[in-house]
Amino acid sequence: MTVENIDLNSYLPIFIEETKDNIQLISSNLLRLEHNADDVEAINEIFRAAHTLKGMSATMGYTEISQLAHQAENLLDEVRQNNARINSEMITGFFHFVDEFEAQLQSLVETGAPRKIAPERFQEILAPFSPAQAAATEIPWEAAEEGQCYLLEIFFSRDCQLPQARAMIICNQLNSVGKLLKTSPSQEQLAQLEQLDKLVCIVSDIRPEEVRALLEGGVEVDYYTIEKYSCDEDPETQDAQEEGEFSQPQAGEDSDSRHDPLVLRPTIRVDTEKLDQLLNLVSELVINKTTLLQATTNYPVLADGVEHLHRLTSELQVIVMKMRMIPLETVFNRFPRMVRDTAIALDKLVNLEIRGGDTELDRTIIDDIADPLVHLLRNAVDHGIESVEERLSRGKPRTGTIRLEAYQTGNQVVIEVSDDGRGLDIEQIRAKSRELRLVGPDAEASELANLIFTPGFSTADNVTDLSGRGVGLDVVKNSIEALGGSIDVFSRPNEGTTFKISLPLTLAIIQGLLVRCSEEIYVIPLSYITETGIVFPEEIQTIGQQDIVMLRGKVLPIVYLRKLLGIDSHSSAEELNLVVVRYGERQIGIIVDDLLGQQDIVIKNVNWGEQFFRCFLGCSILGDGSVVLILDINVLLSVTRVREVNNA
Amino acid sequence: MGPKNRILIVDDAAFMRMMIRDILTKNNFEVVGEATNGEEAVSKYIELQPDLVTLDITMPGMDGVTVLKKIREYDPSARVVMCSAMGQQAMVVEAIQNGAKDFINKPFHPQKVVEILRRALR
Repeated sequence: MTVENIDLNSYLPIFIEETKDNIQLISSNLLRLEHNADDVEAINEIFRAAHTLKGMSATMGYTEISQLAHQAENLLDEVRQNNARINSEMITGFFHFVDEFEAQLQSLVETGAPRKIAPERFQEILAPFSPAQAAATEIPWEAAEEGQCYLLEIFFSRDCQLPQARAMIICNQLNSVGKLLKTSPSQEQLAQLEQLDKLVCIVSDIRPEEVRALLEGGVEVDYYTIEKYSCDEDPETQDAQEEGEFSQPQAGEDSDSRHDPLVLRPTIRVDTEKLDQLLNLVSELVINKTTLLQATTNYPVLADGVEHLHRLTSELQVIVMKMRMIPLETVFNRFPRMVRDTAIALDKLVNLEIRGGDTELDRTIIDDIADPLVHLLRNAVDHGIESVEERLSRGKPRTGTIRLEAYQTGNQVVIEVSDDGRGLDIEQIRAKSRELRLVGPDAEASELANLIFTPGFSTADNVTDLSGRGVGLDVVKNSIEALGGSIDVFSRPNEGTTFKISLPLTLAIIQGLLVRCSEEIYVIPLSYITETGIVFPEEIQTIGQQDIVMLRGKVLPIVYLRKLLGIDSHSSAEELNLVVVRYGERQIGIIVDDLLGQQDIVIKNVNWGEQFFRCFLGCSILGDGSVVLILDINVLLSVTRVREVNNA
Repeated sequence: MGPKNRILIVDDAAFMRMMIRDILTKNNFEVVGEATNGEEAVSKYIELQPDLVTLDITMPGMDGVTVLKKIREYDPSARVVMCSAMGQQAMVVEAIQNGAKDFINKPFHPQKVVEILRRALR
């Protein structure tokens, strides 16, 4: 075929992206179907997604993928036509289909070409449908009698020009070779339509060659199906049936907007690199704005202009940040499938509840949050949720519940993974931790619980394929901390376990408090700070080796930034500046020499190398061009924690 | 291969006529005539009795649909394929309702033109 040469490879990235979206759509709707086999919307969604996949892969020239999608679409359509119920074998079959598509995508990403589909694979995917399949293909053309009616469904391809006109031509042609009894949309409606992707006709007195000759070999008709249709039925009921059948997709579309959270808004895809560049430029702008602000304090004439610039850059910054934000949904969406598979593999009944998928996070964080969450969810299924028998014997419902919930609080996003399973075995942890000499004998339960994040700490008796190898929660904790976040665990015996992950909204620009320590300026991220204040040296008491102050009747451990950073001894000031920081459940006070004020800080990553003490998040450049270091509060806290434990 | 199918090209633009002519002659059709307006199209049809007419939908004077009606009035079995541009949906629909066999959309893809004409000639 002499088609103009377009470089299909340039479409590959968008093909991969959209294919992912569609596979995800199929996957999530399959899960809906699993809950409710009568969910017509879900079937329609899958149908549409499969149709899109088919069209796209055919356009890219991936014949086999296209065929696969075509088969899937056909099968679903059979189900739809025959009013057959979707059974779990079919859903599993469709999951195979999804798997195959994912494998193909993988292959496309890695090699730029689809992989070959083995015939057995086709079989495996399609086997559950064989009864429906047989019914579909057994059209006894040979026995086509006079007066036999056929139901013909014609699907127009995406690039069919004026499909409605094309449909009218097909009607005319069908009428010239046979008898066209009825169409949907009707021939009158066709002339009025703006768009059309499917034409349904009831025809009689035709022969297969004629239909084939009419519909095959052209680019306008994507594919068509034909099956016997009984014309003898009472025309009334027939009409009613058709109405029901034909109006179905319509109903699906209407209700989409009500139920489906995946309503697509018009979007464009932008290379993330461009976004990063934009962010970098805006960051520079923010720095320059700050310079200007400082420089113009002595020139009231410029105040208005600078103030305006300040507002504009702030808005710009907000927008750029928003552009980089994507909903957690994009990560959460694949979990139902994973939890389902894990639960089936372990022979458990698990229901995953997801809330707050619309909570947004910076893209860079989203990319890295998936793996830790997978780990926590697998753990929850494997270790948290008990077997059905055990649950029943404990008086719990057969089906365990895992909740995945995200919400935003202030500058942080919290993601909680909780299960209603057996909870952590605190005694076992206590025993294990004594063995490893991690805690004193009278450690509290919450402290013990948090030990599960220690490297090499696993209490699992038997290692399964999925979890319990002892390389686990410490890795999770490290990844979360690398993102500037924290993780805590709460557990009650027989009631379940909750992991609470707190993450910063974004990593790139933060609000920071500038503090002075000796000659240097440091930044403390504002999101950690609960308050600042002044303490007098005589208020500081020492318990063990830990300095503390009483803050509104509560003990607040304090650290001297000077000491921490290895800068000479105490300053001899009469008043000490105190910055109270909080991270997760912990709170400490940091004594600094001076508080200099707050401002936007653009974090620049620094490659510290291994040998460095990692107590800095990175550095930043101030308006006056000086370089400041940003304190990593999380590391500071863990340093003091170790000291507390040692004291105990 | 049987005798070549005889085609009449109707279009007011010389460029389009030339292009269609090239596509058709390269693909084993015989272009028996060209007409540049509606009146000429009808008289040439009667004179040449072509197997098929490619008929531009928008022409100064008599428009494509009117020409189609006149030709079909003279020969109810006339095979006419409309040539349309984007945004002429209503005209295309009207033409089809009035017996046009098919339509080809500008810009022309040679493969598609040939395919549609072959099908219309069956």
